[in-house]
Amino acid sequence: MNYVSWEFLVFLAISIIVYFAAPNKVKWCVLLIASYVFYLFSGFDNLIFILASTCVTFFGGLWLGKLHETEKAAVFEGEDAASQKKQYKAAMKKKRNRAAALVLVINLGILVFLKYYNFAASTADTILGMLGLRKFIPELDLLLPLGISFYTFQSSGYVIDVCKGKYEPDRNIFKFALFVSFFPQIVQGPIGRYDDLAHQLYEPHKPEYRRCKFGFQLLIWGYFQKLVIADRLMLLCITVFDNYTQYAGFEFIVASLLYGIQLYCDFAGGVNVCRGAAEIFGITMAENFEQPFFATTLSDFWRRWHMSLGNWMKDYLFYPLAMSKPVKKMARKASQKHGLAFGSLVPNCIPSLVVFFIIGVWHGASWAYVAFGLYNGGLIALSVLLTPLFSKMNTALKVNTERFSWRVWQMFRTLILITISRILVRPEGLTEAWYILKSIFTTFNPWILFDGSLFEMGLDKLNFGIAAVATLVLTVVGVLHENGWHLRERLHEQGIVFRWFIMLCAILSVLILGSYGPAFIATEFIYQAF
Amino acid sequence: MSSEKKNWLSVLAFFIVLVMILTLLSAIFNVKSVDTWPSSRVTCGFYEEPENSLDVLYLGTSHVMCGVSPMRIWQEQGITGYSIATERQYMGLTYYWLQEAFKYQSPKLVVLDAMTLFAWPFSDFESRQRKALDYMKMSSVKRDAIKAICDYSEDADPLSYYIPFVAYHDRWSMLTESDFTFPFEDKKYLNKGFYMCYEGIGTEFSAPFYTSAGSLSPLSQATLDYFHLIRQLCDENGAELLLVQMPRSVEWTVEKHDKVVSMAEAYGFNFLDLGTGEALEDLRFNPPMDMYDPWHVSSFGADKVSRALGEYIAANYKFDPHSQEIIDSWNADLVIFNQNAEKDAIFRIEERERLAREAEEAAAAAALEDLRD
Repeated sequence: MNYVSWEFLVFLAISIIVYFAAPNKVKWCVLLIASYVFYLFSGFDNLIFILASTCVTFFGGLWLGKLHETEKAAVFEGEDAASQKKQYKAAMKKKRNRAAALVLVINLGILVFLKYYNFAASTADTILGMLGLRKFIPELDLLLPLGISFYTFQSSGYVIDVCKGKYEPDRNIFKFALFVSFFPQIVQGPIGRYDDLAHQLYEPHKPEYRRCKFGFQLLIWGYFQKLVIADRLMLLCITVFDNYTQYAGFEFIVASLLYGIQLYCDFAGGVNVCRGAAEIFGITMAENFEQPFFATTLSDFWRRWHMSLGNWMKDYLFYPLAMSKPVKKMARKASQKHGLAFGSLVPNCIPSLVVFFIIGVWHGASWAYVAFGLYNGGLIALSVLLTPLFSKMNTALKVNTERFSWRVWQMFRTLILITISRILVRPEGLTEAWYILKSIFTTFNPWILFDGSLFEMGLDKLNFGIAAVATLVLTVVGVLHENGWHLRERLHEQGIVFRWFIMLCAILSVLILGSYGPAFIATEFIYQAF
Repeated sequence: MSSEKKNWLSVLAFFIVLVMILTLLSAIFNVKSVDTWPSSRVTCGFYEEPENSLDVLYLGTSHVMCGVSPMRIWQEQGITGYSIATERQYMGLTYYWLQEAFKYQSPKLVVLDAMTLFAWPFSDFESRQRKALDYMKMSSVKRDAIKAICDYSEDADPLSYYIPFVAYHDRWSMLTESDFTFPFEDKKYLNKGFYMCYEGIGTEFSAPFYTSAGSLSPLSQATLDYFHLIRQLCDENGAELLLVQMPRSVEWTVEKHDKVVSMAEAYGFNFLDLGTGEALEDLRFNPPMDMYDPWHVSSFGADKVSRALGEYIAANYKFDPHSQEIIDSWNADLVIFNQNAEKDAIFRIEERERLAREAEEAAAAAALEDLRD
């Protein structure tokens, strides 16, 4: 069921009514049933995978919990009780890690197989072909269940936390199933943490006016981002990137910049629809974006973009890698060879490369996404290594890095770097991406900005204007958020006439200017494919 | 009252205001065919006719829409009628409109466009479907029609038929004066569903109007099913059925004529073919004046067709006398209709001549430019 569909709105309305009408004890059951009904709309076949993942993770969690209890219950007596205890704890930790690893291998294995088998098969076949050998690895007709990337990561985070003893495992498989499958977030996140999300899901919530209103406002804002901006800009991006040989230079620059806005509004819009819907139920989901276009460095950008994935990677991959023995060994060797300052950067660089490689392939099973990941990881690693040099340069050149103009330069620089990374993945493949990048740097045609060519790239003047005004609204909201304004709170404080005026304008702008209806293809959210 | 309750009441009030605004916007944004091929005027105007005042209902496609003038038939035969024909209104939509019409009228005669027997049950042009359906009042009939259209066409979006705003919300950049005025106008349509066409007058037609194609493709079973439903509906409502074929310069063949004749014999309905060579001679049909384009008669042609049709109906069917109120109302409307028709004819002929003059001048200027080059 597409979030941008009347079916979803009707489904949401019914779910909300039934939820609030239900007795407190069974409210969570309403959410569970609604989540599975929602999931069933994506196909009965998909259900098997989410059920499998839920069961494996749930029983894995119980197993880990049992191991913790056994460890806690162990009693040691005698003179060497302390060393026995230490050894026992180490052994139990090893056991828990193996148990957790098994669960993760199963869960992530399903994801990796479904998502990457065909990519691996075609790559292997290509290599065999290059070596003059017969290609024999078949590609399979595999289905990618709805939201598998999101619920697999969410479940995996739970397993790792239980393994570490962060919290007790959930003992109710149905409640746990709700945590895994909660429908507003299953399509494209945000990736929730058990200790943050679960209790909200299980506790009953009343229909509180302020919270429901805020949730509805967030829903409308999400639809504004998706339908008015993202789907409108998509027309231009499809026209240019799908017919790239007919365009050059500045046309690609414009299309790439607008693609960045499209991608942001599509993703953030979808997440805001999810968060708004969840908020109406009384569940606060984590923010997933923090004005990413205000980022001053690439690291800052990725800290602000898809924050739940970034935090997941940071907590479950980056830090464990950085603290792992192999990386520590590499850091020591680097320190011995190139000095302590250099050596201390290794635990940052290596994990960054690995994390971004994984982020890249998480986005898609193709060499373009591998390039995307390595590009971002490489630049971040490089920036970490070169930061001391840049600081010295700034000092030598007497650059005042506190100025607003310096911040603008940093934002502009980051925008360029991130736009280049988008160009790697938007076209069909790396060959097309290279063609576009080459054209950008070799073709100088700025007149297309003034001679009306802009309005022949899939968007006429009127729609270009709408997209521009809507993006301006987006920018203003972003600036206000960046400066600590909580718009919904501020609006709540205003008089009823003003509040109604703003809400009517917001709703009508979506209904009138939105890209929906028989004239438009119901565009799915880009990140839904994950 | 607690502040939480007050807040929820204000939410309810907000949504009521929103629905009111959307209803108004919907009326403005809906497509209105009010000038050229005015399907909106036709369908809205039908509901303005006094109940059970119509002797005859005319249904079908644009051929009937521009070929049959119910006002002309009233003038010459004293028979009331309304044409609910719209562009590409094939047999399926005709059935649903007839069902709808029988809720408000009890005509003794239903006249159908014979050509629709040879088409699919629904048009592939969604715009024509919507023109025919958008202003039908919401009822079980409209729901059935929407379901039938959506079952027939995979791409059809049922919600957009129930809430046309879903389809038309992006018309905000195309709104014209009629979008703001039509919803609030008196919908009475003096033309009684008739559309006057003059633009193509003067066009020469080289092909013979009525020929033999050698063979005939099988009729669509779905179309036939709807046709039989129409027959059944007419029986249930005490109406007789008459099929009529308008003059056209293309696609009307001997084989089609024979097919309809055989069906008329089999199913017991009358068939008046005004498209044969003989019929065109009887009408003293002059294609350059009497045809608007190869498929449609002009208003001059419609006068001749309506006269012939009116005479045929008067000779073959009996109707109950009307109340003086209806007679006076129709006569008053007729006066205005004739005045408008005359003005319209003069205006359109003058417009056509002006456009022809401008085209000649432009062609001459272009030729001179070529010579200079």
